Amino acid sequence: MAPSQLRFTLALSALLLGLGLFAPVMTLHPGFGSYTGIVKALAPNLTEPRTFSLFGSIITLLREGSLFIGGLLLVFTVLFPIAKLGVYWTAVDHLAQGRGPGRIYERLSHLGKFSMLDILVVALLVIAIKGLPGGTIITLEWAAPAFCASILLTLYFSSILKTRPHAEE
Amino acid sequence: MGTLEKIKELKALRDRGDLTDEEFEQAKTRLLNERPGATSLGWIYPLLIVVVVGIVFWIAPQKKPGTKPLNNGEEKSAQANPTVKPQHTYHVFPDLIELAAKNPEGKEWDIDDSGPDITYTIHLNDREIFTAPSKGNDNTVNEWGGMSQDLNLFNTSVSVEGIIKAALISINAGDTLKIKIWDNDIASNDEAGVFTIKTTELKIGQTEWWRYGDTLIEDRDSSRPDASRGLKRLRLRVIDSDKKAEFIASQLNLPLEKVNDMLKKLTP
Repeated sequence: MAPSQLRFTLALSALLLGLGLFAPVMTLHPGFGSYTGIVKALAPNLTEPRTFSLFGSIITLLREGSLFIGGLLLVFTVLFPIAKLGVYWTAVDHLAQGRGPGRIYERLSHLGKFSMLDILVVALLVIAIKGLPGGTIITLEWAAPAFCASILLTLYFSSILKTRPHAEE
Repeated sequence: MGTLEKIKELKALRDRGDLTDEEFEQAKTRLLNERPGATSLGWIYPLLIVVVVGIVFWIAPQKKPGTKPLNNGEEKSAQANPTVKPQHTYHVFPDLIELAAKNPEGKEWDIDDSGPDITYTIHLNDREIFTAPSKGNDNTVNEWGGMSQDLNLFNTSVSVEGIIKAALISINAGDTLKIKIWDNDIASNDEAGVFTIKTTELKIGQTEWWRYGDTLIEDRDSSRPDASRGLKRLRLRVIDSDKKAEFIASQLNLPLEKVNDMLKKLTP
Protein backbone atom coordinates (compact mmCIF):
# COMPACT_ATOMS: atom_id res chain seq x y z
CA MET A 1 0.00 0.00 0.00
CA ALA A 2 1.36 3.41 -0.97
CA PRO A 3 1.88 6.04 1.76
CA SER A 4 -0.96 8.11 0.31
CA GLN A 5 -3.32 5.13 0.68
CA LEU A 6 -2.09 4.53 4.21
CA ARG A 7 -2.72 8.18 5.08
CA PHE A 8 -6.21 7.95 3.56
CA THR A 9 -6.93 4.91 5.75
CA LEU A 10 -5.76 6.84 8.80
CA ALA A 11 -7.78 9.93 7.87
CA LEU A 12 -10.88 7.75 7.44
CA SER A 13 -10.22 6.10 10.78
CA ALA A 14 -9.82 9.54 12.42
CA LEU A 15 -13.09 10.71 10.85
CA LEU A 16 -14.92 7.62 12.11
CA LEU A 17 -13.35 8.10 15.53
CA GLY A 18 -14.54 11.72 15.62
CA LEU A 19 -18.06 10.61 14.68
CA GLY A 20 -17.92 7.78 17.20
CA LEU A 21 -16.94 10.16 19.98
CA PHE A 22 -19.21 13.11 19.27
CA ALA A 23 -22.24 11.73 17.41
CA PRO A 24 -25.15 10.14 19.31
CA VAL A 25 -23.97 6.74 20.50
CA MET A 26 -27.05 5.58 22.39
CA THR A 27 -30.57 6.63 23.27
CA LEU A 28 -32.06 5.84 26.63
CA HIS A 29 -35.80 5.29 26.79
CA PRO A 30 -36.54 5.53 30.52
CA GLY A 31 -39.05 3.04 31.88
CA PHE A 32 -40.78 2.98 35.23
CA GLY A 33 -42.46 -0.38 35.02
CA SER A 34 -46.19 -0.31 35.47
CA TYR A 35 -45.89 3.28 36.74
CA THR A 36 -44.63 4.58 33.39
CA GLY A 37 -48.02 6.07 32.54
CA ILE A 38 -48.26 7.82 35.91
CA VAL A 39 -44.72 9.19 35.72
CA LYS A 40 -45.40 10.36 32.18
CA ALA A 41 -48.42 12.26 33.44
CA LEU A 42 -46.73 13.75 36.50
CA ALA A 43 -43.24 14.39 35.18
CA PRO A 44 -43.15 13.98 31.40
CA ASN A 45 -39.52 15.10 31.29
CA LEU A 46 -38.45 11.99 33.17
CA THR A 47 -39.85 9.69 30.51
CA GLU A 48 -38.43 11.57 27.54
CA PRO A 49 -35.84 9.59 25.57
CA ARG A 50 -32.34 10.93 26.01
CA THR A 51 -29.45 10.65 23.59
CA PHE A 52 -25.84 10.53 24.65
CA SER A 53 -22.52 10.85 22.91
CA LEU A 54 -19.48 9.01 24.18
CA PHE A 55 -17.51 12.20 24.75
CA GLY A 56 -20.45 13.98 26.39
CA SER A 57 -20.98 11.06 28.74
CA ILE A 58 -17.33 11.06 29.76
CA ILE A 59 -17.40 14.80 30.46
CA THR A 60 -20.57 14.33 32.51
CA LEU A 61 -18.88 11.56 34.51
CA LEU A 62 -15.89 13.78 35.21
CA ARG A 63 -18.08 16.74 36.16
CA GLU A 64 -20.08 14.59 38.51
CA GLY A 65 -16.93 13.52 40.31
CA SER A 66 -16.50 10.00 38.89
CA LEU A 67 -12.86 10.76 38.22
CA PHE A 68 -11.62 7.17 38.07
CA ILE A 69 -14.10 5.76 35.58
CA GLY A 70 -14.26 9.08 33.70
CA GLY A 71 -10.47 9.28 33.53
CA LEU A 72 -10.18 5.64 32.46
CA LEU A 73 -12.70 6.17 29.69
CA LEU A 74 -11.07 9.43 28.65
CA VAL A 75 -7.66 7.78 28.37
CA PHE A 76 -8.66 4.56 26.61
CA THR A 77 -11.58 5.83 24.54
CA VAL A 78 -10.43 9.31 23.52
CA LEU A 79 -6.75 9.98 24.11
CA PHE A 80 -5.28 6.56 23.34
CA PRO A 81 -7.01 6.08 19.97
CA ILE A 82 -6.10 9.64 18.90
CA ALA A 83 -2.50 9.18 20.03
CA LYS A 84 -2.34 5.86 18.21
CA LEU A 85 -3.53 7.45 14.99
CA GLY A 86 -1.01 10.27 15.42
CA VAL A 87 1.85 7.83 15.90
CA TYR A 88 0.72 5.76 12.91
CA TRP A 89 0.64 8.89 10.76
CA THR A 90 4.18 9.72 11.88
CA ALA A 91 5.21 6.13 11.09
CA VAL A 92 3.83 6.52 7.57
CA ASP A 93 5.81 9.75 7.17
CA HIS A 94 8.96 7.92 8.29
CA LEU A 95 8.31 5.07 5.87
CA ALA A 96 7.76 7.58 3.05
CA GLN A 97 11.21 9.02 3.88
CA GLY A 98 12.72 5.56 3.60
CA ARG A 99 13.20 5.14 7.32
CA GLY A 100 11.76 2.68 9.82
CA PRO A 101 8.42 3.45 11.47
CA GLY A 102 10.14 4.61 14.64
CA ARG A 103 10.45 3.44 18.22
CA ILE A 104 7.23 4.99 19.44
CA TYR A 105 5.34 3.02 16.82
CA GLU A 106 6.96 -0.21 17.94
CA ARG A 107 6.24 0.52 21.58
CA LEU A 108 2.67 1.47 20.77
CA SER A 109 2.20 -1.74 18.80
CA HIS A 110 2.74 -3.64 22.06
CA LEU A 111 -0.06 -1.59 23.59
CA GLY A 112 -2.30 -2.40 20.64
CA LYS A 113 -4.33 -4.88 22.66
CA PHE A 114 -5.64 -2.01 24.77
CA SER A 115 -7.45 -0.67 21.72
CA MET A 116 -10.02 -3.44 22.23
CA LEU A 117 -10.63 -2.11 25.69
CA ASP A 118 -12.70 0.78 24.38
CA ILE A 119 -15.08 -1.59 22.59
CA LEU A 120 -15.32 -3.61 25.76
CA VAL A 121 -16.10 -0.50 27.80
CA VAL A 122 -18.94 0.49 25.45
CA ALA A 123 -20.30 -3.06 25.55
CA LEU A 124 -20.17 -3.09 29.34
CA LEU A 125 -21.96 0.24 29.54
CA VAL A 126 -24.72 -1.01 27.28
CA ILE A 127 -25.12 -4.25 29.24
CA ALA A 128 -25.11 -2.36 32.53
CA ILE A 129 -27.85 0.03 31.49
CA LYS A 130 -29.83 -2.73 29.79
CA GLY A 131 -29.96 -4.43 33.16
CA LEU A 132 -31.86 -1.57 34.76
CA PRO A 133 -35.34 -2.39 35.96
CA GLY A 134 -38.57 -0.74 34.92
CA GLY A 135 -38.41 -1.54 31.24
CA THR A 136 -35.69 1.03 30.48
CA ILE A 137 -34.46 0.43 26.98
CA ILE A 138 -31.18 1.36 25.33
CA THR A 139 -30.98 1.71 21.59
CA LEU A 140 -27.59 2.05 19.98
CA GLU A 141 -27.21 4.94 17.56
CA TRP A 142 -24.98 5.18 14.52
CA ALA A 143 -21.95 6.52 16.41
CA ALA A 144 -21.44 3.09 17.99
CA PRO A 145 -20.72 1.28 14.69
CA ALA A 146 -18.66 4.31 13.55
CA PHE A 147 -16.52 4.04 16.68
CA CYS A 148 -16.07 0.28 16.31
CA ALA A 149 -15.24 0.71 12.61
CA SER A 150 -12.56 3.25 13.52
CA ILE A 151 -10.93 0.88 16.01
CA LEU A 152 -11.10 -2.05 13.59
CA LEU A 153 -9.66 0.09 10.80
CA THR A 154 -6.79 1.08 13.09
CA LEU A 155 -6.16 -2.58 13.91
CA TYR A 156 -6.17 -3.44 10.22
CA PHE A 157 -3.76 -0.57 9.58
CA SER A 158 -1.46 -1.82 12.32
CA SER A 159 -1.44 -5.32 10.83
CA ILE A 160 -0.58 -4.14 7.31
CA LEU A 161 2.14 -1.88 8.66
CA LYS A 162 3.68 -4.80 10.57
CA THR A 163 3.79 -6.99 7.47
CA ARG A 164 5.25 -4.16 5.38
CA PRO A 165 9.00 -4.58 4.77
CA HIS A 166 10.67 -1.69 6.58
CA ALA A 167 13.52 0.24 5.16
CA GLU A 168 16.74 -0.11 7.10
CA GLU A 169 17.13 2.35 9.90
CA MET B 1 19.87 9.44 22.51
CA GLY B 2 21.79 12.39 21.06
CA THR B 3 24.73 12.21 18.68
CA LEU B 4 27.19 13.18 21.43
CA GLU B 5 26.05 10.33 23.66
CA LYS B 6 26.31 7.90 20.77
CA ILE B 7 29.88 9.00 20.05
CA LYS B 8 30.72 8.62 23.74
CA GLU B 9 29.30 5.13 23.65
CA LEU B 10 31.36 4.26 20.57
CA LYS B 11 34.44 5.64 22.28
CA ALA B 12 33.80 3.47 25.31
CA LEU B 13 33.50 0.44 23.02
CA ARG B 14 36.80 1.33 21.38
CA ASP B 15 38.47 1.85 24.78
CA ARG B 16 37.24 -1.58 25.89
CA GLY B 17 38.67 -3.01 22.68
CA ASP B 18 35.31 -4.03 21.23
CA LEU B 19 35.88 -1.72 18.27
CA THR B 20 39.06 -1.08 16.34
CA ASP B 21 40.18 2.50 15.67
CA GLU B 22 39.15 2.05 12.05
CA GLU B 23 35.68 0.77 12.96
CA PHE B 24 35.31 3.58 15.45
CA GLU B 25 36.18 6.20 12.85
CA GLN B 26 33.83 4.66 10.30
CA ALA B 27 30.99 4.54 12.79
CA LYS B 28 31.70 8.08 13.93
CA THR B 29 31.76 9.38 10.36
CA ARG B 30 28.49 7.57 9.56
CA LEU B 31 26.93 8.98 12.69
CA LEU B 32 28.03 12.54 11.95
CA ASN B 33 26.90 12.32 8.33
CA GLU B 34 23.62 10.71 9.19
CA ARG B 35 20.69 12.63 7.73
CA PRO B 36 18.76 14.14 10.62
CA GLY B 37 15.22 12.81 10.72
CA ALA B 38 12.82 15.32 9.31
CA THR B 39 10.52 16.45 12.07
CA SER B 40 7.13 15.03 11.17
CA LEU B 41 4.07 16.99 12.07
CA GLY B 42 1.84 14.30 10.58
CA TRP B 43 0.68 13.21 14.04
CA ILE B 44 -1.39 16.38 14.29
CA TYR B 45 -3.70 15.49 11.36
CA PRO B 46 -5.73 12.75 13.11
CA LEU B 47 -6.11 15.07 16.10
CA LEU B 48 -7.29 17.88 13.82
CA ILE B 49 -9.84 15.63 12.09
CA VAL B 50 -11.28 14.47 15.41
CA VAL B 51 -11.37 18.05 16.77
CA VAL B 52 -13.10 19.35 13.61
CA VAL B 53 -15.78 16.63 13.87
CA GLY B 54 -16.21 17.54 17.54
CA ILE B 55 -16.62 21.25 16.68
CA VAL B 56 -19.18 20.42 13.97
CA PHE B 57 -21.25 18.43 16.47
CA TRP B 58 -20.80 21.15 19.08
CA ILE B 59 -22.09 23.87 16.75
CA ALA B 60 -24.76 21.90 14.89
CA PRO B 61 -28.09 21.79 16.74
CA GLN B 62 -28.82 18.28 17.94
CA LYS B 63 -32.23 16.83 17.21
CA LYS B 64 -33.88 15.58 20.38
CA PRO B 65 -34.88 11.95 20.14
CA GLY B 66 -38.37 12.74 21.34
CA THR B 67 -38.93 14.97 18.33
CA LYS B 68 -38.37 12.21 15.81
CA PRO B 69 -41.36 12.04 13.49
CA LEU B 70 -40.94 8.29 12.90
CA ASN B 71 -42.35 7.38 16.28
CA ASN B 72 -45.66 9.05 15.81
CA GLY B 73 -47.28 9.58 12.47
CA GLU B 74 -50.39 10.77 14.24
CA GLU B 75 -48.63 13.74 15.84
CA LYS B 76 -47.36 14.85 12.46
CA SER B 77 -50.78 14.68 10.92
CA ALA B 78 -52.31 16.34 13.94
CA GLN B 79 -50.46 19.55 13.15
CA ALA B 80 -52.36 19.88 9.92
CA ASN B 81 -55.44 18.30 11.55
CA PRO B 82 -56.76 16.45 8.52
CA THR B 83 -60.37 15.34 8.73
CA VAL B 84 -61.31 11.71 9.03
CA LYS B 85 -61.93 9.46 6.00
CA PRO B 86 -65.40 8.04 5.37
CA GLN B 87 -65.91 4.33 6.01
CA HIS B 88 -62.81 4.18 8.13
CA THR B 89 -62.54 3.39 11.83
CA TYR B 90 -61.14 5.65 14.51
CA HIS B 91 -60.67 5.68 18.26
CA VAL B 92 -62.19 8.79 19.88
CA PHE B 93 -61.93 10.04 23.44
CA PRO B 94 -61.65 13.36 25.30
CA ASP B 95 -58.14 13.45 26.73
CA LEU B 96 -58.90 16.59 28.75
CA ILE B 97 -62.08 18.12 30.13
CA GLU B 98 -62.19 21.35 32.09
CA LEU B 99 -65.21 22.70 33.90
CA ALA B 100 -65.82 26.19 35.23
CA ALA B 101 -65.79 26.77 38.97
CA LYS B 102 -69.64 26.76 39.06
CA ASN B 103 -72.12 24.28 37.70
CA PRO B 104 -74.55 25.33 34.87
CA GLU B 105 -76.97 26.70 37.49
CA GLY B 106 -74.27 28.96 38.87
CA LYS B 107 -73.94 26.95 42.11
CA GLU B 108 -71.04 25.12 43.69
CA TRP B 109 -70.48 21.65 42.22
CA ASP B 110 -70.71 19.96 45.60
CA ILE B 111 -72.39 20.87 48.87
CA ASP B 112 -69.10 20.70 50.74
CA ASP B 113 -67.53 23.18 48.26
CA SER B 114 -65.26 20.47 46.86
CA GLY B 115 -64.60 20.32 43.12
CA PRO B 116 -66.45 18.12 40.64
CA ASP B 117 -65.64 14.45 39.98
CA ILE B 118 -65.60 14.74 36.19
CA THR B 119 -66.69 11.81 34.05
CA TYR B 120 -68.23 11.32 30.62
CA THR B 121 -69.97 8.96 28.22
CA ILE B 122 -69.69 8.87 24.43
CA HIS B 123 -72.83 8.42 22.34
CA LEU B 124 -73.19 7.68 18.66
CA ASN B 125 -76.60 8.76 17.34
CA ASP B 126 -77.89 8.89 20.94
CA ARG B 127 -76.73 5.34 21.66
CA GLU B 128 -74.15 5.05 24.42
CA ILE B 129 -71.05 3.34 23.08
CA PHE B 130 -68.38 4.17 25.65
CA THR B 131 -68.03 5.13 29.31
CA ALA B 132 -65.06 6.93 30.80
CA PRO B 133 -62.61 4.38 32.26
CA SER B 134 -62.06 6.61 35.31
CA LYS B 135 -63.41 9.77 36.85
CA GLY B 136 -61.76 12.88 38.21
CA ASN B 137 -61.57 13.63 41.90
CA ASP B 138 -62.64 17.01 43.28
CA ASN B 139 -61.03 18.93 40.48
CA THR B 140 -62.36 21.16 37.71
CA VAL B 141 -59.98 19.60 35.22
CA ASN B 142 -59.20 15.99 34.42
CA GLU B 143 -57.13 14.10 31.86
CA TRP B 144 -57.43 10.64 30.33
CA GLY B 145 -54.53 8.88 28.65
CA GLY B 146 -56.65 6.68 26.42
CA MET B 147 -54.74 3.62 27.58
CA SER B 148 -55.55 0.76 29.88
CA GLN B 149 -54.37 1.77 33.35
CA ASP B 150 -53.38 -1.74 34.37
CA LEU B 151 -51.46 -2.30 31.16
CA ASN B 152 -48.33 -4.29 31.63
CA LEU B 153 -46.39 -4.99 28.48
CA PHE B 154 -45.31 -8.33 29.76
CA ASN B 155 -48.75 -9.38 30.83
CA THR B 156 -50.05 -11.35 27.91
CA SER B 157 -53.51 -11.58 29.40
CA VAL B 158 -54.15 -8.03 28.15
CA SER B 159 -56.05 -8.09 24.87
CA VAL B 160 -55.29 -5.81 21.94
CA GLU B 161 -58.85 -4.51 22.10
CA GLY B 162 -58.51 -3.71 25.80
CA ILE B 163 -55.37 -1.60 25.55
CA ILE B 164 -56.93 1.54 24.09
CA LYS B 165 -59.62 3.06 26.25
CA ALA B 166 -61.62 5.01 23.71
CA ALA B 167 -64.79 4.73 21.64
CA LEU B 168 -64.29 2.94 18.37
CA ILE B 169 -66.39 4.50 15.63
CA SER B 170 -66.81 4.14 11.91
CA ILE B 171 -67.26 7.31 9.89
CA ASN B 172 -70.61 7.41 8.16
CA ALA B 173 -72.33 10.46 6.72
CA GLY B 174 -75.09 11.78 8.98
CA ASP B 175 -73.78 10.17 12.18
CA THR B 176 -73.52 12.39 15.23
CA LEU B 177 -71.13 11.92 18.10
CA LYS B 178 -72.01 13.26 21.53
CA ILE B 179 -69.94 13.45 24.66
CA LYS B 180 -72.01 13.94 27.78
CA ILE B 181 -70.08 15.33 30.72
CA TRP B 182 -71.18 15.46 34.32
CA ASP B 183 -70.02 15.66 37.92
CA ASN B 184 -70.35 12.18 39.35
CA ASP B 185 -71.90 12.44 42.81
CA ILE B 186 -73.17 9.78 45.17
CA ALA B 187 -76.53 11.45 45.61
CA SER B 188 -77.26 13.00 42.23
CA ASN B 189 -75.11 13.75 39.23
CA ASP B 190 -74.75 17.32 37.99
CA GLU B 191 -74.86 17.69 34.24
CA ALA B 192 -71.90 19.79 33.08
CA GLY B 193 -72.50 19.99 29.35
CA VAL B 194 -72.70 18.13 26.04
CA PHE B 195 -70.24 18.26 23.21
CA THR B 196 -71.80 17.41 19.85
CA ILE B 197 -70.10 16.96 16.48
CA LYS B 198 -70.84 15.23 13.19
CA THR B 199 -68.46 12.29 12.80
CA THR B 200 -67.47 13.45 9.31
CA GLU B 201 -66.20 16.69 10.85
CA LEU B 202 -63.83 14.98 13.27
CA LYS B 203 -60.16 15.78 12.84
CA ILE B 204 -57.32 13.37 13.40
CA GLY B 205 -55.08 14.17 16.37
CA GLN B 206 -55.92 16.62 19.12
CA THR B 207 -58.44 19.43 18.77
CA GLU B 208 -59.33 21.74 21.60
CA TRP B 209 -62.86 23.07 21.95
CA TRP B 210 -63.88 26.02 24.11
CA ARG B 211 -67.43 26.83 25.09
CA TYR B 212 -68.76 30.34 24.58
CA GLY B 213 -72.44 30.64 25.45
CA ASP B 214 -74.28 27.69 23.89
CA THR B 215 -71.66 26.85 21.30
CA LEU B 216 -68.29 25.17 21.41
CA ILE B 217 -65.69 26.53 19.01
CA GLU B 218 -62.32 25.13 18.05
CA ASP B 219 -59.45 26.95 19.77
CA ARG B 220 -59.69 29.63 22.39
CA ASP B 221 -61.00 33.06 21.54
CA SER B 222 -59.04 35.40 23.79
CA SER B 223 -61.32 38.30 22.96
CA ARG B 224 -64.24 36.61 24.73
CA PRO B 225 -64.56 35.68 28.40
CA ASP B 226 -64.17 31.98 29.20
CA ALA B 227 -67.27 30.09 30.29
CA SER B 228 -67.98 30.71 33.97
CA ARG B 229 -70.50 27.86 34.37
CA GLY B 230 -70.51 24.20 33.40
CA LEU B 231 -68.29 22.88 30.63
CA LYS B 232 -65.44 25.21 29.83
CA ARG B 233 -63.04 23.26 27.62
CA LEU B 234 -62.76 19.83 26.01
CA ARG B 235 -59.78 18.41 24.17
CA LEU B 236 -60.75 15.68 21.77
CA ARG B 237 -58.37 13.05 20.50
CA VAL B 238 -59.00 11.04 17.37
CA ILE B 239 -56.69 8.15 16.48
CA ASP B 240 -56.68 6.24 13.24
CA SER B 241 -57.36 2.62 14.23
CA ASP B 242 -54.65 1.54 11.77
CA LYS B 243 -52.15 3.55 13.78
CA LYS B 244 -52.88 1.94 17.10
CA ALA B 245 -49.25 0.90 17.55
CA GLU B 246 -48.00 4.45 16.97
CA PHE B 247 -50.44 5.77 19.58
CA ILE B 248 -49.43 3.16 22.17
CA ALA B 249 -45.75 3.83 21.46
CA SER B 250 -46.20 7.56 21.94
CA GLN B 251 -48.24 7.17 25.14
CA LEU B 252 -45.89 4.63 26.70
CA ASN B 253 -42.76 6.24 25.31
CA LEU B 254 -41.61 3.02 23.76
CA PRO B 255 -39.98 2.31 20.41
CA LEU B 256 -42.55 1.48 17.77
CA GLU B 257 -40.85 -1.87 16.99
CA LYS B 258 -41.31 -3.03 20.58
CA VAL B 259 -45.01 -2.15 20.55
CA ASN B 260 -45.48 -3.91 17.23
CA ASP B 261 -43.82 -7.01 18.68
CA MET B 262 -46.06 -6.79 21.73
CA LEU B 263 -49.21 -6.44 19.62
CA LYS B 264 -48.17 -9.44 17.53
CA LYS B 265 -47.84 -11.49 20.70
CA LEU B 266 -51.22 -10.33 21.98
CA THR B 267 -53.04 -10.98 18.73
CA PRO B 268 -54.56 -14.46 18.91
